[in-house]
Amino acid sequence: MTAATSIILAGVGGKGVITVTNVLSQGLVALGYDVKVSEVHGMSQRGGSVHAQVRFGDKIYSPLIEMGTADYIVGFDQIEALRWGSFLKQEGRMLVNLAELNEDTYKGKYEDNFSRYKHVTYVEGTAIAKETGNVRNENFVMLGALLQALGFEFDVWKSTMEKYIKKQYQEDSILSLLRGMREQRVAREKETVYEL
Amino acid sequence: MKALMMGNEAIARGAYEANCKIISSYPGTPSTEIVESISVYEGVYAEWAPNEKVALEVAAGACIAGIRSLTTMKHVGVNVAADPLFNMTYEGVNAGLVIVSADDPGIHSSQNEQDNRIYASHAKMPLLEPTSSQECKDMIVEAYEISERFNTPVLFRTTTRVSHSKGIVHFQEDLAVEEKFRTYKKNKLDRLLLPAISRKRHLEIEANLLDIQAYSNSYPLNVIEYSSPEIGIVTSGISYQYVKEVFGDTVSVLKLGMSYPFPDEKAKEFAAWAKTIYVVEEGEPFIETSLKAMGIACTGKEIIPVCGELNPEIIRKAITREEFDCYEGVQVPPRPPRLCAGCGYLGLYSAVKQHRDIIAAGDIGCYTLGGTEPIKALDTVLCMGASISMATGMQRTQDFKPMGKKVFAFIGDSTFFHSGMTGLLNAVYNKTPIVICILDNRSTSMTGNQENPGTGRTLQGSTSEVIRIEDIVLALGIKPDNLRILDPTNLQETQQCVDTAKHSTEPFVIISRHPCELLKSKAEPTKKYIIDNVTCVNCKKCTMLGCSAIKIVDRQIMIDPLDCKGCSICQQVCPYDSIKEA
Ligand SMILES: Cc1ncc(C[n+]2csc(CCOP(=O)(O)OP(=O)(O)O)c2C)c(N)n1
Repeated sequence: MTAATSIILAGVGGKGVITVTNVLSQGLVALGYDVKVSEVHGMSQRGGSVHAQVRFGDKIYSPLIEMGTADYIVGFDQIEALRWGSFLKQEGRMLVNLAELNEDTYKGKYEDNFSRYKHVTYVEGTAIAKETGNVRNENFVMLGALLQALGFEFDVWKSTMEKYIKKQYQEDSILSLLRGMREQRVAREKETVYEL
Repeated sequence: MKALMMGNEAIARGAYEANCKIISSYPGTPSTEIVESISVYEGVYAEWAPNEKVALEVAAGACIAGIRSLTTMKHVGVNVAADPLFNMTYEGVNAGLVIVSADDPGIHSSQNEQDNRIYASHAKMPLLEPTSSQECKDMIVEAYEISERFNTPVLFRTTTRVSHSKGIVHFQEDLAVEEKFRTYKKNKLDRLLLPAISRKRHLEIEANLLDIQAYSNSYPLNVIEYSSPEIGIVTSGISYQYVKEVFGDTVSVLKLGMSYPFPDEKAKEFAAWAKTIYVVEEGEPFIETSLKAMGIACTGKEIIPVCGELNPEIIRKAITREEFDCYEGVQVPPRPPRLCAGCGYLGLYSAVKQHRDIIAAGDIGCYTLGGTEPIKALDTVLCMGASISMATGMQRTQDFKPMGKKVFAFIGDSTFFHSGMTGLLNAVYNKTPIVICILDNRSTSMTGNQENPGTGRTLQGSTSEVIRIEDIVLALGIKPDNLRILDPTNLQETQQCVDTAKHSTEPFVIISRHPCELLKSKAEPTKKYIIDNVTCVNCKKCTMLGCSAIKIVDRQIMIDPLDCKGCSICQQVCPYDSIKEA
């Protein structure tokens, strides 16, 4: 029996956390895993913090992830990644989008906090999404980076995307996912970033 | 066939498979998706009712007339429907009736975290508690069997983590639903709850409960999972999954799918096996009290909290005192939900806030966010519909203890239809000079833009009569001179109206009408606004509006062009003319 893999996806309302969670979990089902997903709807969707928890393996009981046990935290921006930091297990990996946080409340105030985690991968999700022509696709770049980290092949996910993403958005979003998976410069270990 | 389903989607699937044909509900997190999901199945009638009491009564009528029916609501909705709920046990069903109560431990999106399992024992009806999406589907089918077999409504209780979590559900895709209906017998006296009949019915209900208890003892989802006898855990609902997560198969578990009537024989069997018994349940000590009443020694709320929702780590810490190493948390600024950019409520609240002598009684909906930073326009929020009646009470105190204040009520369109109309009737009838602002955004927004009687569309989106709020208000006795209809993005008009209303000596209504920004029908903005940072003196008048498009970057106020909806409210409040069309 393989142990469960636990993932937290965190962002703010309207940035596609729920969409990406849906693709991820449907793809995992297609791959034959037992899957549980926890989301909270309602009040939390009015522009505030939004997160989802996804767990997969041979047999999953709890839809909630215990503190200190998440294998991956996917932060759609730096603030939301840090909010869930204590859920990461010691050997777990943070995947953080380098989002443009220019509001004074956030700017330049939280970057240093990532040094405490053993494994951090910075992803230029926002920049890459812009290059593909749609800033809103940063969520798919992040999904791509996660799938890459999990060691999955692109093919399954292409068909999952085709099934669950509306036709008119498919091309852009699949491209963003692919760039998230494949591009070397996307994944930079934290040490390199601090040298920049 | 298998599919990943939310608990709520699985409940809809199960009800469909059970040949439930009539569904009436009022939206409320975390219950809403049940109705939305079942409405797309063929051959069912599903509707949004104006409130939970109406919804339950529609379902009650349908089951008595011989067709299986369903009503779903959030936990506090059951309070609204409590009158028909309690009496339906006396009335009895004909075809099956299931009432879904979706509770919200942890208060993700509610006013309180009441545990509605207690309603089952109080109203004397069987209680089912699914632990997963698969069980949501399977147990609903059983709930209808139980309802018909014992001639009783069944309370089906989920929580946010059952309703909104997704899990794999196995089902038969091309299942032919068996269309079996029950005949209706006219003039059956038991259905007239007159004292003589109700006294007889009460005796029958008590006897019936003993039969259901015997069934509960043999109910397959009240199951003992035997393992080591050292530790035995009694649990139900989502807590079962957490217990399995923490302990796997190392402890014995009594899992209760039906915890009322309490399966006493099963509990005795478990107590005879397990040496130390823990009760792991969210909320109130419901199971624990039953065990203790039987004289079974157990530990429950001594170590498992009553407040908040449970999770694996709380259970692990409480029972094993172990916890995992965690990275130390980083304090980051909270990002609470906010009113959308362009929301009409921003204009109305901005006008009201200029008056220090207004007491503002709020209500439940997106506009409740007008009570939070930086708007802070509301004084009270209690429950749906309470704004108007509480305003009446507060205004009346000033007959004895003048505060020199005028009391305003703020109530949304859906909430007005839900339970505001009677409050207004009362204020008019008893001549209490309050001001009622009806925030008509043409939608039930907080719960996800459902239709309501004012939108002119039904649950399925087909056109219906548009019930005009102004017609209702006039019919309830508001004088035409005491009614104003305005667009809150026009600040000058809004300010004048608030001023006139404040000085009225009679009940006064303002209908503040501006369609919700999240409606799909909403057109893309035709203009945007920018701030001229040369003339801007950072007075922060615009930031105090609470518009989420207005941000501070490098100590300067700016309007995020991606978020701006072009409503122009900020331009109208700027005293320095620094906000211009882009
Ligand atoms: C008794 C009860 N039923 C349902 C709810 C869930 N609920 C909270 S806000 C809301 C919608 C309110 O809609 P509306 O009054 O139109 O205000 P809006 O959200 O559009 O601003 C509902 C249904 C509740 N809190 N209490």
